[in-house]
Amino acid sequence: MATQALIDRKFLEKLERLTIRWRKSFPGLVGGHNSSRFAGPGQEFLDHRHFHHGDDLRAVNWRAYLRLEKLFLKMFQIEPRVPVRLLLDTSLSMTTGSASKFAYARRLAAALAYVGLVRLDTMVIVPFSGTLGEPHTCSGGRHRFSPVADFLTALTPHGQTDFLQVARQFVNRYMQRGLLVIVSDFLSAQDCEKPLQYLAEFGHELFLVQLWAEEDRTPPWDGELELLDVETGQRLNLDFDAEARLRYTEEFDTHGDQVQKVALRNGGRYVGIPTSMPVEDAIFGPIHSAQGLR
Amino acid sequence: MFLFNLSLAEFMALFSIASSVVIALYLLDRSRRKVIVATLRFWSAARRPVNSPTQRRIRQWPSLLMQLAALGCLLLAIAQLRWGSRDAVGRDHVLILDTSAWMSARGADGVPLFEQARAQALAYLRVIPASDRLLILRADALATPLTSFDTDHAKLEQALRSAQPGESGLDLSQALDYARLLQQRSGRPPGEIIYAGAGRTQAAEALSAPTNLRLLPVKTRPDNVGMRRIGLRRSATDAELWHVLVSVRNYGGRPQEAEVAIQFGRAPAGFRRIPLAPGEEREASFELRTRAAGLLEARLRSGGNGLVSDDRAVLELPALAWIPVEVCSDQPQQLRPLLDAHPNLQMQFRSPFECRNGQEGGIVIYDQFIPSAAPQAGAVYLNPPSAGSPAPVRASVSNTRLEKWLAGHAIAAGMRRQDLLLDSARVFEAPAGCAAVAETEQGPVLVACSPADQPKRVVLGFHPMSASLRYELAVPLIFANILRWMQPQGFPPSELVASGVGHVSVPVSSDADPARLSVTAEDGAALPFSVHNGAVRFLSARAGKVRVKEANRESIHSLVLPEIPEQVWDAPAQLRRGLPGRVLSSASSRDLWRWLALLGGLLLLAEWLLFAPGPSGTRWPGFPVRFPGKGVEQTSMRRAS
Repeated sequence: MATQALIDRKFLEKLERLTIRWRKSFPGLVGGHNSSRFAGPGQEFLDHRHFHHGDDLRAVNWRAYLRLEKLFLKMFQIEPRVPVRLLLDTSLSMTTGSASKFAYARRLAAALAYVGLVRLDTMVIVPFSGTLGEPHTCSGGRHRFSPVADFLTALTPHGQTDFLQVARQFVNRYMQRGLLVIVSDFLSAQDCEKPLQYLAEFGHELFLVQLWAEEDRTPPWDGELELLDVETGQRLNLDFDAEARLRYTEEFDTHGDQVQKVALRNGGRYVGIPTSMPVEDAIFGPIHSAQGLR
Repeated sequence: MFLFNLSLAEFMALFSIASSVVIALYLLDRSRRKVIVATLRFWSAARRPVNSPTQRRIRQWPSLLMQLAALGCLLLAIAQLRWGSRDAVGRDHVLILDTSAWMSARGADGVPLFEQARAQALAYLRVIPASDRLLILRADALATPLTSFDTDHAKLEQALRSAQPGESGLDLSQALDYARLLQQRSGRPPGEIIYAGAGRTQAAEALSAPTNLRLLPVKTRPDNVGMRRIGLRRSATDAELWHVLVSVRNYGGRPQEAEVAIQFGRAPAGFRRIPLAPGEEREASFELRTRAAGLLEARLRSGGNGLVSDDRAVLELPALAWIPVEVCSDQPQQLRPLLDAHPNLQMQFRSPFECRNGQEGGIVIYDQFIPSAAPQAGAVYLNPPSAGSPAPVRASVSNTRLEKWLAGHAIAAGMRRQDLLLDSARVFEAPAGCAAVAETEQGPVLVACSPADQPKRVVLGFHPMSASLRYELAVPLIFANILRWMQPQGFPPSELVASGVGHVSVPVSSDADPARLSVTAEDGAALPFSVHNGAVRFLSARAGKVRVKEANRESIHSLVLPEIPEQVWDAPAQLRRGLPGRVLSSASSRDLWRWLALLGGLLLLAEWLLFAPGPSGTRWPGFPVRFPGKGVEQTSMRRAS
């Protein structure tokens, strides 16, 4: 039931052919599907280097030794298993707008998790708002998707976003570096660039998916407005017109650009998706184009 | 089309008030659109100060207009908007049927006035429209509805036929006020107030007729000579002599000669012939000597005798009873003048040694001594010695003055003097159950006791015939009050009046307890009464005797004559008279309030669905909606992505 509520069967079939991609080279054991610059027990030759005491003698290029009388060590390219962590924003700001960003984010997270499961990746889905929530780890194939769907369906929006606290908890809890997918509207009272930069500097590859409702970017209202911040409860009275709407949209886009800069500057990726776009179109459109999936 | 419950001005006023409230609520609550947003950080850049915080604008005109329309529909439903003519709506009439005593009078044709009035009322009943309701009010001294507002003509006719004239006079002013009140509270348009009667009423000159009054006058003016009042007064010099006064009035328009005869114990006691001009009232006086009780009957005979019930009246005369008084005194000559003034006292003077202590009953007076045996009758102790005094003696004083009287006590009735000098007196301690009737500065000197199971006692600490009091006028009064208090049945009323039925006011003692008062009719039925300004007021609508009982006394009121007001109301000429033309209600009015209420409800429902929907409500672009589980309004705008 939960699976059907989140993603329909046809969409799942389309997701079968996709793979989660990451750009960084992470150390790890064999079993992944993205090559790494780190040498290891792979099959494909990568390079030679001088032999050092303690190296495995089985990797010594004996032919080169016979010809040059020097010990060279053969290095092979590996495709390590890299953990994929998906941070899902469950703060109250995800509930505003005519189309719920939270529902959209859950469907998107479900799609990404299904892709990871199909490719035998280890996925960790972590909800967050002010702090990190209880994670859900899944791996081992598509037949493990049902618990994921149940977990996502059971989530409820609550709390106020605190990216700094979340980043601190994340780096403390997950020491092994990997791909970090953050699905959020990145709308909070504080800036989110510094915490994101902190995560990137720790070694995680950022894949930022920013969601917004149309009203978040282009408020349709005119006249006297009494605004209520859904997270902080603060109120603001103002007059709103077309000119103010332009300034607002400009500010919103600037904020998106800053988030995008953080991702790109650190070798990550950024995708901005309005909730008016169907999830299927988002997967095979912007996310695929940004090489988040291939 | 017209409003049934409200006038147009009332409706407009109510609608204006309600609309103002609705618009004010809109301005207070909905002029500023409430929006929930994810964050306020980008809004600060777009912030522009509010132009004028006090100027508010209505943004949801369709919602406001729908609410105002719904309000108007509901108010119109309350006002009972009707389609049709106002005349087609049934009205409420009140028919005042005169059932006063005068309506029993017969004209020259021998038909009672009441029958004529009843015939007029029945004729009126036949001409009113079937949709009109009629209430029949029986009017004499007290207006009483015979029916409720009813359209059932058979039921109304039955009520009219069962009505009979009473014996009290008509109070038309009260009946008209009551009829107006009934029409105001009926809930339907007021129709006519119809009066069927002869118009002989109290306070006729002060009567103000309502504009919707219709008169069904009785044309016959019967000739009648009747008694209005019989008064008896005992002679001041001869207790056995009664002065009898009979008031007679000529109600007709022709001179009459009345013959008044009185009988006592069925024996003729007097006869007078009195000529009476039209409207004249005269009195015939008689003298009757009797000591016995009996019935005094007065009869009247005249040429014009339209009303029989005021031609005969009977009064019950009380007997002049003897009160045995035993005076035990060494100096009877001092007390004899005090007691001789009362004609119904049967006195026996004895020396203290021969005193029988009231064995014959009545009253025994002990003059300055204490008997060896307890008295068998009510006892009066005059200046008793300290030893054995019925009231303990506190002190003996001399040259003191009586300063204080116990107001309300029968012995102190009429006593105002505060300067009575006492040569010598004994001051008592008032025992429990006794009242200190008179006091000096040092204490009580006159004590009255009325024990529950024993004869009454009065103890005087001074001698009433002492040198200083012998010539005081207050002394005989004190003694008379003492005798009256001890033997009230021995002092029958010196005045008797037979008057008409109706409102009666009887004086009672100022401290009378209403819970211990009772007013009963001749058949024993209790009459409602009120106590106001020291008088019992009640209404007796039927002829007979009415007994007013207080704690220890009873007065009998002979209300044996019918009450006939002196004046006939001269109704203004502009009032409608006679039967109306037949009113036909061919057109019927249609009541629209149900449809208006339904429309108002639907408008409110539509407004609620469109502008304030519930969890599954339809969301219209630009209108506030409520998201599930949040309880706060947000704004939805569907735009093409």
